[in-house]
Order: sequence, then C-alpha cells, then structure tokens
Amino acid sequence: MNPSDQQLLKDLARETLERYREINLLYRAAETIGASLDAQEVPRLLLAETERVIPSDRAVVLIGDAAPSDEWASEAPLISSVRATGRPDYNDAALCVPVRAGADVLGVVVLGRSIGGRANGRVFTAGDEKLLLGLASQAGVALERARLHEQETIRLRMEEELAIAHRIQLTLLPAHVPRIDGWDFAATYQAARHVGGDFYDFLDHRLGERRLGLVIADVTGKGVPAALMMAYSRAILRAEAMAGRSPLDVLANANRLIMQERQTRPFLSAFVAELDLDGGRLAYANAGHDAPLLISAGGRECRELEAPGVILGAFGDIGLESRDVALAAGDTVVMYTDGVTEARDPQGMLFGDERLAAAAVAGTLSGPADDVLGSIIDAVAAFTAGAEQADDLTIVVVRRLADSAGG
Amino acid sequence: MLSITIGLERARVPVAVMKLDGELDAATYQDVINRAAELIEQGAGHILLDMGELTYMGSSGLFAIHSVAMMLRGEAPPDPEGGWGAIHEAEPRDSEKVDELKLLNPLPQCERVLDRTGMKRFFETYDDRRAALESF
Repeated sequence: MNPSDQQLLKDLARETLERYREINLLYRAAETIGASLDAQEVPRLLLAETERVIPSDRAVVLIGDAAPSDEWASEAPLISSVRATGRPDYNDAALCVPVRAGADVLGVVVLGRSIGGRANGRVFTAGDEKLLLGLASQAGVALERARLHEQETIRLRMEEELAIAHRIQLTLLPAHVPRIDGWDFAATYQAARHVGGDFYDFLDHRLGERRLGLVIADVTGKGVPAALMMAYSRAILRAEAMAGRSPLDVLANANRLIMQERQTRPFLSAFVAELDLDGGRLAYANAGHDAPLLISAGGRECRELEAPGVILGAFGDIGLESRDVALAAGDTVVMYTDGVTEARDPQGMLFGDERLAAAAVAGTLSGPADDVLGSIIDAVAAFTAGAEQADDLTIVVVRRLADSAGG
Repeated sequence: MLSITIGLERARVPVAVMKLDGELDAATYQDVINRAAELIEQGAGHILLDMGELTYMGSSGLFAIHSVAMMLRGEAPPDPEGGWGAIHEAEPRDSEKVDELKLLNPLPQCERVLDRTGMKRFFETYDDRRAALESF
C-alpha cells in the first residue's frame, strides 16, 4: 500500500467513524426528544442534546418569535434571517439553524463560540451544521406531534364538557310526560352538539286539585354554563310554582331573583302556564318566549297564545300580563323553543313560523299529541336535510281529548 | 361571521355608529361587546347600532345589545372570561328605557327576536338614519 492509499484509507476510516458517531448521536437524540409530547419540554431537550453533542460556549433555543437575550444582540440579524428563510446560516461567532415542521419555521437553535479557533472565518464546521440540523429536525417533528397532541387533548376536554352539559340537561328534564285522563301530552328535547339551555317542565304538585303546571324555557348560551344556568333557572321556576303562585307571579319573582345575581346572570325566555284539567282553562304568562300555538279541533284555526312580557334577567320592569284561554275538546297547544323556527336548511334559510304552523296543523289532523310532535320533527328534518343543528330544539304538545268534552 | 364597522357622526351630540354585517350569535356576540367597550373607553356616550345588514340574531345577540346598553349607562362592563360577566353593579333605574343606545333598520328576523323577547320596548328603533342620529 502506497502512502497515498494509506492516507485515503485513514480518511475513509475517519469519515466512517464520524458518520457512525453522527448517526449514533442523532439516534439517541431522536429517542430523547421524540419521546416528549410536551411542547414546553422539547426546546429544553433540544438544548440539552445540542450542548452534549456539539461543543460550544453558549447555546439557545428560541421557539416562536421569542426574543433572544442581550448576550445574543450581535446575532439578531442572523436569527431574523434564519427565521425568515428557514435555512441555516452562520456569522463569525455563531451558527443558527431553523427548527421546522414541514415548511413552517417553529423556532431556531443558535450556538456561539469564541472567535479565533478557525482560519476560514467559520467557528463551526459543516459537519456541526449538519448535526445541528438533524437535532433541530427531530425537535421540529416532536413539537408538531406535541401540538397535535395538545389539540386532541383540548378537543377531548371539550367533548367531555359537552357530554357533562348534555347529562345535566337530560337529568333535569321530565322522565315521562304526564298520563292524565282526558289529556294527551308529548314532549321532545333534541340537544344541539354545543348543547343550549332549553328546558321544559311539568309541575304536578297540584294534581289533587286537578291542576298541572307547564313550563318551557330557553337560557341564553351554550355548553356547561348554559346547562348550569338552566338548572338554576329551572329550580327557581319550580320553587316559585310550588309556592302556589300564578304563572305571572312565578315569572315576576323569578326575574326579581335573577336580577339580584351580580356575577353570572342568565337571560332566559320562559312561558309558564297552569292548566285546569277539568275545566280546560289554560292560564299563562310569557316572559319573552316564542308564543305557543293553539290549534283548534280539526285544525280549523291556528293562532298564537300571545301575552306581553320581557326575557328574564335583563330588566327590572318586564311588563308581564296574565292571559287565559279555554281549551275545547280536540284543541292542541304546541309550545316550542326557537331551535325549531330557527332550524336552517343547507342554504342557511330559517324554518320559520309558517312551516311550523303548517306542520303542527297537519299533525293535529291525525290525532294524538305524539303525531303532532312527529309531524313537526319530520318537517324540520326534511327542511334541514342533514345540516348541522345549531341550537337545542324543544317541543311540548298538550292536547285535550275529545272524550273529555264534558269538563 | 360578523363584521363590525365603526363610524363617528356628529348630530346634536357625537354618535358612534356600529354597523353589523353578518350574523350575531354565540360565536360573535362577544366581539360586539368588546368593540363597544373600546368605543366607550375612548369616550363614546351614544351608540347607534346599524342592523341593516345583520341577517341573523340569536339570543346571544340580545345579550350583547343589553350589555352595551348597560356599559353606556356606566355600569360595569361584562367580564369576557366569565361568560355572562358582572354586568350589574348599580341598582336598576326608575326608567329603564335605554336612551344611550338605539337601533337602526333591523331586518325581519332580528325584528322578530326583538319583538318576541320583549326587548323592543327598551330600545328605540329607527328606519331613517338621519332621524336616528338626531334622536340622541
């Protein structure tokens, strides 16, 4: 072997060793950095691995647009240039490489070394640069994974919260509709994905006096806050009704109580009624809720049960007035929330009052309260044609049966 | 989606006109409250809400309008972190009609919501911009 061959062999051996060292270091770094799902920890690991692998006088990892400390003041142009171009760069005292996820520059690593070590003006070799890029790319992948992991965690937490909201809502709604001779009831509650604050209630504490309380209400807001406000509002309306008050007084007192809340105060619309199960008289008051529909027997007439009043929780003076109406045999009352009239088709059109009235009237023709409910639900489903339900949808149907006409 | 454009008009008093374009719902109502809070912080005492291009308003929208009215009355602005924040520090006034906030050109859907919820009685509504500005 001649001397030049020997030199070649030596060079080859050194290069192989160097490659081995590089691969080994990168492998270890990948194991350390890549194992982390914590976006805060990845930069620290990257810094530690860098310091272990590439000797330097100082090193820093800057994630996002974090500003370097004063000791890096003369590297500021270098850092901005790497952030802008996404390509490694150096000056006569420092090396800077990007931490990237695909085309995005997530941050930079900067290494500094005292000047004077090298003749060619570079204080770090091309090999250092390659190694640092390798480490930085591991960190980029880890950061991206950590970001996705965090997003997934947030998404799961939101799903959990919505499930809680939904559960609160469902446990507070009546398990069954009342079964009372001469009357037919049906009710449905369909939660939107982001769970609103709808609720309805049947108050049967005065059944002995042949009276039944009816409530339908809609609390402003979505998710857990709306569900908690729904629970709070429901309790207030129940307590007031159980104290034997009229629908108007129930609403007026509820408003007074809600207005006293200083921190979190719900806005809610509520329709409260008391039904005389023998006489068929429905006494009611309405605090800013959509007026229920009264459909006479055979669908001959459909009108709104209007009464003045203002949504609860907004103002002290809400101008409520009591109203009452006599329900004859075959008459149907449809109470609903705005999730029905504001259901949207795929083009964004609203279901509206007229479609609701038409579907409700059509439903009364076949008879039972369940059919009225079904007719409205089917009409809304046909209209929305699979578009996402934006708000809770609640319907309560009260029907006086024909064979109770003597009352 | 909701876009909010702010204009300043000088009538008998200076009036900030907030033009709402799009939909005012649970996703956007806080934007209206925040923008109004900024205006009030900068000294606005009268706001006209131009609803001529507001195609939808949910009950969160009512909450926003009410919050803006309360802020104009000098009551504590809502805390954005608290959902329905601390709006109420002062006792309700004798007259609850809101003179500091008025509404311009609500479209039928918004008109229905204002009407059904009874909120209309607290807010003067105009269909003529000049008349609305001069009413402050």
